[in-house]
Amino acid sequence: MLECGYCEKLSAYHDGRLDATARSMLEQHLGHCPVCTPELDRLGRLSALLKGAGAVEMPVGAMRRFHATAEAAGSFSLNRLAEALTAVAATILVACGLWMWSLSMTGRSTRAPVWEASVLQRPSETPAGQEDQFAVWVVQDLSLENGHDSN
Amino acid sequence: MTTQADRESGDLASNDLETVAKARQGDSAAFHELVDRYGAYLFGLAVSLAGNAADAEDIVQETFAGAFRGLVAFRGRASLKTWLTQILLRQAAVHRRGRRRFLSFLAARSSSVPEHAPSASPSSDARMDVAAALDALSLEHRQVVVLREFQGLSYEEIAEVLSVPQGTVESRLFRARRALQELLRGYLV
Repeated sequence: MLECGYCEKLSAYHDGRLDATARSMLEQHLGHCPVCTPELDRLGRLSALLKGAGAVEMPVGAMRRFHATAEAAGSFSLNRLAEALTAVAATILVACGLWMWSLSMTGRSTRAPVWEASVLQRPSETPAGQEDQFAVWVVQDLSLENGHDSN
Repeated sequence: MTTQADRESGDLASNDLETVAKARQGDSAAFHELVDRYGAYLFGLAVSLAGNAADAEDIVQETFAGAFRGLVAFRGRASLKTWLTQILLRQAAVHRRGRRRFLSFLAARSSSVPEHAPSASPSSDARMDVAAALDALSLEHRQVVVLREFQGLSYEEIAEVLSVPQGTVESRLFRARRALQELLRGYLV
């Protein structure tokens, strides 16, 4: 292929991309250049050939199949939302469980309070006249839980 | 001055953002709307890159599937059309690599496989020759020719899709057209 300094501008000229000055200079040049004029013609013929060869009809049912992908994407999106909500709920549940467990492990005695042991005693085992003592134990236990020393 | 095409393009971009927002919330109708809006455009682009309708359909399917699943990644900085085009170009490149491996595998198994099927008419001859010529171009040159000649994208749009300066688009187009003139010179006399 013969070369000319203006050849590189022909493609942009063909696409209407040159500014007024560059376009005017190239058009003056085209009037007498034996290389650029036929190349510009070939560019026009190439565009026409490509456009003619590029038109391919979409296969029957292709759009329906694309819509099936859209349908699947819609359900995928809802499933993902449901999964996210389930994960959040599970996290909250685990966090609450851990929090309650840590509360039971810190600052609380695992031993049953004295008044509770007393209540759980069978009536036959409860000595007579112990109701007053029971009230004192309850007050003592509550004081201990609240950090007060009843003594 | 704002042209009619600019206004239409702006309306479309704003509609796209609304539709994408609905699709993100799991609205199935929004996904269908995007297929109606871009299905034909993406198929046209894919068929120019792949050279046949069957592969093109696969590429568009993969593009939609990937785009829908990755919709959260769409920030709206570029238009939805640009974003979908970028995904399709990547899918087409992946598909092409897979097809090349498959063809090499077939060629290794049987040396009697013809390179080209016989054509039925002169127009299908031209179509096959154009497809073969495009196939012979480098990936960068093929992309720029397809986006400009087949899809009619502006230099600005091509630069945005390919993430390159407009000067690069211009020089790639010049070289790609030069190469095609050589490959298809029988049709250009």
